[in-house]
Amino acid sequence: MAVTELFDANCAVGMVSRPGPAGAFLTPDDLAAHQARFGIGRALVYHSLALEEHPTPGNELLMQAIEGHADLVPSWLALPHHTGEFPKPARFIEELRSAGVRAVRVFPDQQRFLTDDWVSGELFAALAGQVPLFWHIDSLDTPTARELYRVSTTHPDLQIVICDVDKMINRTVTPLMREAPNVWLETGGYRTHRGIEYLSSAVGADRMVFGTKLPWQAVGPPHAELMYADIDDDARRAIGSSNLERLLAMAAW
Amino acid sequence: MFGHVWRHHAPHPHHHQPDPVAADALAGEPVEDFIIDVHSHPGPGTNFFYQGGGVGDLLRVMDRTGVDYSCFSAYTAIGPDCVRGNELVAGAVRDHPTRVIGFAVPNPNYPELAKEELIRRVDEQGFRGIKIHSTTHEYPIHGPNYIPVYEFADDHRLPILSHTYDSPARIRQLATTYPNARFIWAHAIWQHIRTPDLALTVRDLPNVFCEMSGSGNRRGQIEAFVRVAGVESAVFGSDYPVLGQTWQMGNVAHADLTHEEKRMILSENIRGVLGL
Repeated sequence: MAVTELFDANCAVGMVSRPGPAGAFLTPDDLAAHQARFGIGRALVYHSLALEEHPTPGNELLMQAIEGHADLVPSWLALPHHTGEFPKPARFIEELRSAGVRAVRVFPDQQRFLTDDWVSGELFAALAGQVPLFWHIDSLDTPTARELYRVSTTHPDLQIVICDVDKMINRTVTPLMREAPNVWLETGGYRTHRGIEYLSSAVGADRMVFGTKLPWQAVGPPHAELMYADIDDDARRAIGSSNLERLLAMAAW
Repeated sequence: MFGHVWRHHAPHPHHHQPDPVAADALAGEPVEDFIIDVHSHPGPGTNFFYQGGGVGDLLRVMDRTGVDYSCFSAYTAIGPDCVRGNELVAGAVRDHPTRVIGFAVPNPNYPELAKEELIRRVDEQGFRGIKIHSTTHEYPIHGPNYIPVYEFADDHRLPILSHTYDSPARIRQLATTYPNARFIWAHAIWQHIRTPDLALTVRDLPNVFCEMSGSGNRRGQIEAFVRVAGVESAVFGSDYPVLGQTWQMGNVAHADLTHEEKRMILSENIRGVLGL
């Protein structure tokens, strides 16, 4: 079976509060060395402190940490601006452009904000057509699924990658991805039996991106899920790396 | 294997050399070692959709991962109809005796059927194990309707795969009360992180095994369990098709364990119990 070099769409560098028995990756070199065992040559990375402390210092720490690491592509976390703790969307877009950051992440469940228009509408409108959004979920429950559908259809130019999914998603994600061609799926948590095969057939292999959820999750399971999937090598290569390359190339800078 | 490496910095000082199991999994090739999946369930999903899920589908997946035998208990048996579900497994055992091992499901809510089902499936149809699911059946594992099941397993020296383990103290009580039965506690390895006493308990119980499937795939969790309980206590199971057998293969194949330790988990620890 031909093997593709992989591009990890979902991993973090830095200390975390609950790393699990094998620990976290305190430096980019540690992360890279572990990923290299699995043929992961590049990673779209965020800083753990952006999630577990606050996006503003975390995003800044990320740029310091990965300086000189061309194989680590930065992604920044975003928050709504209303409390004054985070820049207004127009300014945030300028900061992304200035820093050359081509991917934004949100964690609405963990960072406790709504994605309704009156909270996050300005942010999503500003990101649309500018930079892809990686939307991390706790679960694809009813309100989350409805919000993903609403936001993706309200902003058809906003590329949305659903991250951290679980196994019980096919009955929701199939019509969602068919209805909204701007919705993508990150496979790091997609542990559904033959899930990658199924979604490749039902929706297409061109909107899945390989991810690991390092350091919290082991790489072996999502890696094996991709490598054992009964799909052709072009599809495996697309999911493993080229879809993410194409997605990042959609950024306006 | 892999083509060019994109990273340009110096190799890690402890450069990792994959053992044969990890190398096969890295390439998406069937693992060559003898492998037994102690935990699988043919049947469609009621609460979520997955492609395939039938006996033929599992055999196909086993061919891809390199699994030689899978222990079957039917969803329908765990769910609404233990007789109908056990009959489905009996057919699979008949049709695929060199790939399928039958595990009979007694439903403790129908105690009048339990003994009869076990005799029919084990003594007459060659099933080699029992599956209990006290969570779905909403019946405690120490309830009186399970006593004939444990006694049957003890008399026949059978393995019992249980979805629920209740507590480490209950594990010890059952294992010592029925020393000839073999208890396989499903999903117990990843529970080790939440219940460290589990590994401390099972390490001294030779008739107790912990199975590794689960949705919690913390990095290093299998290794952490093995360090405390000993590798002899760990067995490979997938919970197919609720979880991907491929997913669970990746969990073991890439664990920081020796090739010999992986072989023990993948089959050797349980091979004799199943008569293989």
